[in-house]
Amino acid sequence: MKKKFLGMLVLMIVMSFVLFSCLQAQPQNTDEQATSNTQEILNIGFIGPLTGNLASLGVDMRNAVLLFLDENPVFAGRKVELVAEDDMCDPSKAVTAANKLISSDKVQVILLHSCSGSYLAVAPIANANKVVIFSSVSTSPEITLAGGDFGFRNAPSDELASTVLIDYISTKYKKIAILSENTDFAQAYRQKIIDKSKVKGLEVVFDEVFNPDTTDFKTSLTKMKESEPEVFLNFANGGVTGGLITKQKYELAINVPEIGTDIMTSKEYLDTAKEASNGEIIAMTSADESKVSVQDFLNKFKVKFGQESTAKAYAVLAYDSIVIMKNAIENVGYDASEIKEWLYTMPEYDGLAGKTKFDSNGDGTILPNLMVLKDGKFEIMK
Amino acid sequence: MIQVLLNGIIVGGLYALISVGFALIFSSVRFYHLAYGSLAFFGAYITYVFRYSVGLNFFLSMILSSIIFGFVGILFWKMFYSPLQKKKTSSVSMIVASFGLLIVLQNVMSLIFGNGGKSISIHDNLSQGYEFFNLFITYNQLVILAVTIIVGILFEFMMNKMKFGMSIKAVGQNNDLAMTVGINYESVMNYVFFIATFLSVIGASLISLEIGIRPIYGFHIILKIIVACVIGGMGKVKGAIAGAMMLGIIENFGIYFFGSIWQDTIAFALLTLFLVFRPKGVFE
Repeated sequence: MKKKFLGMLVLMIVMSFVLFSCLQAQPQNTDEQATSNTQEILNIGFIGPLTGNLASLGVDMRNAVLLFLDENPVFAGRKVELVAEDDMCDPSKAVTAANKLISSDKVQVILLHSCSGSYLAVAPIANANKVVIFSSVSTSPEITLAGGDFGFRNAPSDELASTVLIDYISTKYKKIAILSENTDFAQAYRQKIIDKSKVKGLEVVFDEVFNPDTTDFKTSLTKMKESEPEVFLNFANGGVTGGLITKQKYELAINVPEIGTDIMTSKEYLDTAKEASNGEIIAMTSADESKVSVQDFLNKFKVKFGQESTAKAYAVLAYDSIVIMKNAIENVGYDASEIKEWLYTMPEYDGLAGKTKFDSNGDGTILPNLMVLKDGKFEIMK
Repeated sequence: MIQVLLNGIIVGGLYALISVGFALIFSSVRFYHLAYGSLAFFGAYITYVFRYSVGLNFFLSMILSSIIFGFVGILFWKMFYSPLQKKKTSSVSMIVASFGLLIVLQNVMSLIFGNGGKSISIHDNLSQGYEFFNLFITYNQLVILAVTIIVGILFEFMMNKMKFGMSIKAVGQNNDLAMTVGINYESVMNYVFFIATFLSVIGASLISLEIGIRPIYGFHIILKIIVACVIGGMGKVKGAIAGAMMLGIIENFGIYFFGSIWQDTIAFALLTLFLVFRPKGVFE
């Protein structure tokens, strides 16, 4: 009897795992239309996280593009079709999607609105196949050079964010403390801050790196307090971790002003740090909601998709990305090599996110803003 | 410096709460109950459910979920370990079985509660700490210290003054002899698994006050507990407490002097050193 029961239990567990993996393995829905590439249809590729942890970001960016295509369905006399692929911010999935877009959908342009890892993985393929890739969300400094001739972005590099931060810090403080997580993103950010603070004559009085699984920061923070910094930089790479640092710092009554990263906009950070997060400062792009054109866009977005955009900054950048593409295609036709040349020399475009031009590396000119957290919401710092 | 010692003692106290149960089980069944770590954090999740979905106060939530999990602990013994032991399975197979259970529990937690963290607190607002003689203690740390001391005293009283506590000790010291003098092995085992799991859920709930709860924490904590138990001498309850305290204190001094990136390295270097030079722990 007991044996039978145990057997059943094991069987059930195995079955549930099989079922679960089947569910996951189901092909993702795409907005792809099975139209063959007739002369009239112009396929533009899109890769982004439409499911998974960053789905809200990817879906908002795709919707922003669709909103524009709804009102402007024809580029240079050809009807535009957006072929959207989901990569879940996984570089290997992004590569599969890019190969499919290039070989089967014959796209000349891919809006690669995904994480930096995906961008870096797709860049060599796009350059080899002479296809333009354009990102409104990949911010890694590596992309500046790794993007190649065909790589562009209007998302500001973290390089710019660190410049904005250090300019702000140097006007108010002299001694800085850094607590950073041992990941690519956080370490790149930390290194830039250290390099730039030397130039500005700032003193780094505390600089500690911790491993990703760390959860108790009290002793590190005690040590940080003893070094008597004037400002504290929290470079965690996850919302919960960043939140734990802010929370434990507050509980230890260390009242040093705190500066963070984009991570602090996540729900996990706000849930963990609670009211301790008040006054947190970050540098990132943001939708300037005082602009009429931005308000207009956000209203249309809400009407069409039934809910407000949750990643406004990136939705606005994604909207600009498709407008820039339209301008390019109307000027030089749908040919990646021509589009690329045009983008490098295009006149300044004054869009929703700001004034855009591209430098010789394909990086845009939009600057991040300093933002401050007040009662769970980031506001642009005046 | 004394501040670092205080942080270490509090962390050590938490390790101790969970290590005691692990050592108790080891002393009576002679195997590593690895699933114990996941079970403890599963209990912390249930504390979370009582605290926020039912809306009870934190302490009541913690005690309720610890009692429930005490029985879950007994269930684990009856369903998995006892049948294996009756078949005279080797302790290696039992460790493998309990490792499997750890993974299953961790995945069940992920499925129910998600992989992200849940944070849990006594009050809705965060509170800043208190300063005494240049020593800083946060509100959570104060609570942890108080609960650890109370539970520790109750546990000592139970083991030394009450009949079933003494039976547990007897089984731990000499299983066969204990049975010849008429101690009922099965009922002693029920007590052991109940008490151990009860303590671990108290410990995990207190930990989650500080760092929140995630499914993976069960695995992290069991590694630390094994280190603590090896330092103290495997299977010795007093040793487990001493080992846990030592681990907490050494870890925090390590963070202070070498940086937190070395925290785990220090713990496992300690484990290796003890295994090589003092395999029976500090109190040989």
